[in-house]
Amino acid sequence: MKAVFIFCGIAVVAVLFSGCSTVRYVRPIEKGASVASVSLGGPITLVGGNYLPLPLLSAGYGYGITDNLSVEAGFHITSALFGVAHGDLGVNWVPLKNRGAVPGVVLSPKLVLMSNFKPHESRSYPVITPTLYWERGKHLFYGGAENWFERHAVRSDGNDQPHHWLFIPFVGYGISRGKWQFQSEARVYMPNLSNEVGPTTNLGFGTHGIFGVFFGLNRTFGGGAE
Amino acid sequence: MIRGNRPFFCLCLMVAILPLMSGCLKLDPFLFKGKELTEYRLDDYSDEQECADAVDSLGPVDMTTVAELSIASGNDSIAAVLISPVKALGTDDTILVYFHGTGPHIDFYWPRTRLLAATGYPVLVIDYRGYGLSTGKPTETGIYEDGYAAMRYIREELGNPRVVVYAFSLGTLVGCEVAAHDSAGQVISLVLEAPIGKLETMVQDAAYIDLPGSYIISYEGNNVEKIADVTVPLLWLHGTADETNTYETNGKKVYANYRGPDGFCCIVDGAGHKTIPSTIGYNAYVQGVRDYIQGRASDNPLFSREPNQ
Repeated sequence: MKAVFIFCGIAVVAVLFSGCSTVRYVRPIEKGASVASVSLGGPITLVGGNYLPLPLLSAGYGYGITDNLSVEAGFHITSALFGVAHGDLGVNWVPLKNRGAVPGVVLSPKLVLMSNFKPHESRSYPVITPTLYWERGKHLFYGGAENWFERHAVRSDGNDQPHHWLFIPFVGYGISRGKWQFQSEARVYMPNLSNEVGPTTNLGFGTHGIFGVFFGLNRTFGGGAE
Repeated sequence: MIRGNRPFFCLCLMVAILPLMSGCLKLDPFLFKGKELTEYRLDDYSDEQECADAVDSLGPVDMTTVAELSIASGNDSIAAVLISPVKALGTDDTILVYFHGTGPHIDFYWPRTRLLAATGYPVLVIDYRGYGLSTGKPTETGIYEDGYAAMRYIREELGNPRVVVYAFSLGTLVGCEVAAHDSAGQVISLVLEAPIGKLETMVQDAAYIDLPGSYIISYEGNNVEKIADVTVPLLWLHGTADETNTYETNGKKVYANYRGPDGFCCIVDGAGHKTIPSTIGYNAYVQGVRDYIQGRASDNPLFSREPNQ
């Protein structure tokens, strides 16, 4: 048995912090329209003898500047419960829209910000996420990868920072009904890295990666939809 | 336009309100996995134990050498078990005090306690507040208070023998604390098995990114800092495959910051967090601890001055 549950709560939430969780705005947001979203989900970890997705709750907002470019912001409610302001700001650029079998392409650079408002305890992480998507009527299929960049060479505990690129591939499905869209997504956190670092017992590809699932709900306002 | 911006305003409102109602949640209590008991079963305990097979090789304990004790610690009463082959200890004797890990109680660590008693020295093991038969709720300062209470009990009730502090995992926070602040001069040596470096390190190891520990916990648990104040000889044991308190980020940092008179380490290739005694072999482990206490560490191939990994 690996590491049992020693200190598991701490480690679990540590993993929760290290991931964007807001609903991904894969479909281009129409010019002038805005989208509000909530999402719930997280890494799948052994808690109390069962593998469960951990509850990271977040809210997001996106606004279409042009039909190919939108801005978005997310706020992580679970982090706020720990006294940490945790949000992300970014843009979604759609250089290529989906046409038939040819997938659409979305590029999403973001800046993830965290702070508990204490000296030296604010963090920012650039994240870039390329995504491919296909729309079939009300159905949406997509896949891509978040790429996080850790710029610090030394961690705040004084140890060397061994990881400077964190890779989180994902696949997702969305279904629309009027102005509403339900979205579900499966992720693998860091499939290239051992999941045995730290005391949690995570569900992954054996000793690598941590599986995660998310569910989200979007509502579109304005634009041609209204 | 206003209708289109309504969700944005709602989101702003949420962002403004949430911090006001938040910030209280921390995961400090998750450090402690204590369970209450109605009695200690010791050799008869049949649930999961660490190093359970060690008892098979040791045989049943002589119950005439075992005493269950109750020690006052602040407003609480902590339970302890003493294994002592001699009835009365004096200032020329040596006793091992065992500060166990985060596991549930003394019964869970009974085989480990028996292994230490197999060295021939008396052993006192305590349950922190909220563990086993001890009252109260565990906190970082609370378990330190329990450690001091055990030291005071040894001084005032057990004949004030010399003390070798043997601490494992979570217990290393207590071991470093009492060894670093030993104003009574009781402690003659400190043994740290699979020590925590800092609690923040656990957060960072799990997060992959440089996440401040204070985001999640308010406890400090900083052995790296505390070990610098330890002025007695130190033995550090660590498994290279320890996945809970990793060798590189925890134990190695603690040992590197030790400034005391005589440091030895025992780095066990392939051993995990709980498996140092079984990986070494129980007999070799017991002999090693005995050699160390008797000042023969340099003659035992288990030990070296510098980590070999």
